[in-house]
Amino acid sequence: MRTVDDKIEEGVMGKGMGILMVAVVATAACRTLVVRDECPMGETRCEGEVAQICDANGSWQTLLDCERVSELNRAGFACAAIIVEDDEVGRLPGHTCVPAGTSPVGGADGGAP
Amino acid sequence: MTRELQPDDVRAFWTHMMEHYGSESLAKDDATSMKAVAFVLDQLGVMDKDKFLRDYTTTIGRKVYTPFEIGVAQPGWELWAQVTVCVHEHQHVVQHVRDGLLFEASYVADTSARARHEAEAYLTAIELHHWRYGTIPPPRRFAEKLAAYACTEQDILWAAKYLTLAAETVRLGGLVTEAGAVAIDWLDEHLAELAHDD
Repeated sequence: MRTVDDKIEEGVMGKGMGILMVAVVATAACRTLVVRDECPMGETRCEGEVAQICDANGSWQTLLDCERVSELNRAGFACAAIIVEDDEVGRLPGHTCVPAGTSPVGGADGGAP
Repeated sequence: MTRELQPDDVRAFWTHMMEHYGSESLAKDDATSMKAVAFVLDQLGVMDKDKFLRDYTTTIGRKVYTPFEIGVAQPGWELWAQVTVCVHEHQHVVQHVRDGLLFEASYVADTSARARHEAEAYLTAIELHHWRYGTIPPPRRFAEKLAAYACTEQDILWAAKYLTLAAETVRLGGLVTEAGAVAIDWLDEHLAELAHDD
């Protein structure tokens, strides 16, 4: 005859298997996503008003969200291509948030290596 | 600049940041949990445990563990450094609130994620330096600090580019982090004399 403890144990085991199955499916799905989203490390782009930079894992990451930057500064900022030039970095093309109305350097389309 | 930063300024600043973010500060050398974290980080090869306890302020959730007494200058922790580290650590609180447990988990497990989170927090130092001195400190200098966090050379190169591009927004007059904006609002109101002259 099954006791209450047995029934509880069966319930816990059943839930545990369910969680394990979900984890396996989620892991497989994540692997698929990682492969699909790979990008070259350090490449940058404007995705709408979000400046993005590709990380060492090959995933796009937010560099700056220009809408949020605009809110923080109570002034308009927009994503644009820029070139930073100084003694330390030399000539570094990329994307970031610039005050609205600033002329971007080069085109804002496409990625910058 | 017409006056120096005072101990009471630093204490008032920390109080403001902690009230704003609902955080609390604790002495790092008194905290058993910090000794445990130091041991784990040492075992994982992330950081030497003595260095971790002596040289680094650490934030877990909304608890900020400091290796100095707030408002008391000491070697390595001058008063302005205590202000900048306060903002850095509160950007980690922002990350904790924004990203939830994923922040802590990815910080420990993935050097690339650790570099991302630290680089974002280093942006606050660039914002504060620009506010006070009107110049942008070399972003590469901050990226290189990631070597002490067991980040790879690729992570450091990535962070240098990330910081250089985001610093350009700061140079153009923009605030870019949540904690930096809260801090500079307070500094403008209470310690405007410390800001650089336009």
